[in-house]
Amino acid sequence: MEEEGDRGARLGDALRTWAARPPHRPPTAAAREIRARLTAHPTSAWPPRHGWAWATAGALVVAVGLGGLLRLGRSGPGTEAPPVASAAVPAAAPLGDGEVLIWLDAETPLFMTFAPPRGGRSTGGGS
Amino acid sequence: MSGDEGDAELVAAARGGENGAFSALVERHWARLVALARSIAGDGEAEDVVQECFLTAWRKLGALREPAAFLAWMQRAVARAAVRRARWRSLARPLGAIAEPADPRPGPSAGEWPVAALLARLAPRQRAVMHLTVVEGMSDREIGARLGIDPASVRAHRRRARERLRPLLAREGAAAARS
Repeated sequence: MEEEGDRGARLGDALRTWAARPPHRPPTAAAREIRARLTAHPTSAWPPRHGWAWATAGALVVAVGLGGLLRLGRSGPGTEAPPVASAAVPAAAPLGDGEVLIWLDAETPLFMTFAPPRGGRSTGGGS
Repeated sequence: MSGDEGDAELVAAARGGENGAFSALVERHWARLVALARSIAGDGEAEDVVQECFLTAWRKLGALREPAAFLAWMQRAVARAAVRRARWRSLARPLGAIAEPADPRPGPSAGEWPVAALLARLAPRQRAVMHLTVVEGMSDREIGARLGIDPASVRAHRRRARERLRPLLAREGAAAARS
């Protein structure tokens, strides 16, 4: 009867022999195939072109960001705010009791109506 | 085992745009890497796995910090890719129905171990540990570096692999003794 240690050693030998079998594709054929695949896909060319693509995209983002900052600088918080009730602002309907009109910008009015709670008794919450 | 002589020069030349140098790297290491992938993912998948790893390696060659460690770098890539492929295959097929793809070469004769069938009974990472231990003769630290696990995990994988193989080996041994 074969001992466990012998079996392990035999398995080791068998594994080494099994692993030493030559591959189906010989190394030269594999190298040729890999080279063909690399030349078939220009994106795989060395040096990698993604690097340039990323650099271009990054430069674009920086340029757009700088442009935005410059524009903000020109009409920043230090400059005069655009007039709310000017001739450019469309005329709004007259406000009734408890009505408030807020211009979010030159073209966007926000109407709010404040009314006492039903039943005439305030519960402390606003409406 | 960390590097082969001449790899650094070939890597440098390949980085410089020499396709021939990269082909030389493929030719040098193809058989060894296929053997590793074969132990982990089986005959049918191994060469595809290694080819994909070489294609990725070409794109990432600039990221290789130690050109002399090209082989170790590739072994790491191949081992991980083969483990992923083997796991995916075992998910795609019901457990227990995992059979090696037919190899046109003659199978084991009487008294030989059916290595492929025995390896198929192990988890992919256990197969990787067995291959790197037995075939490559690596230390636990080297194996851990290839597989991205610590040496204690390497020992645990090896122990579990041996525990799983023990009854199968006993059965094979008994069958061989009868024949």
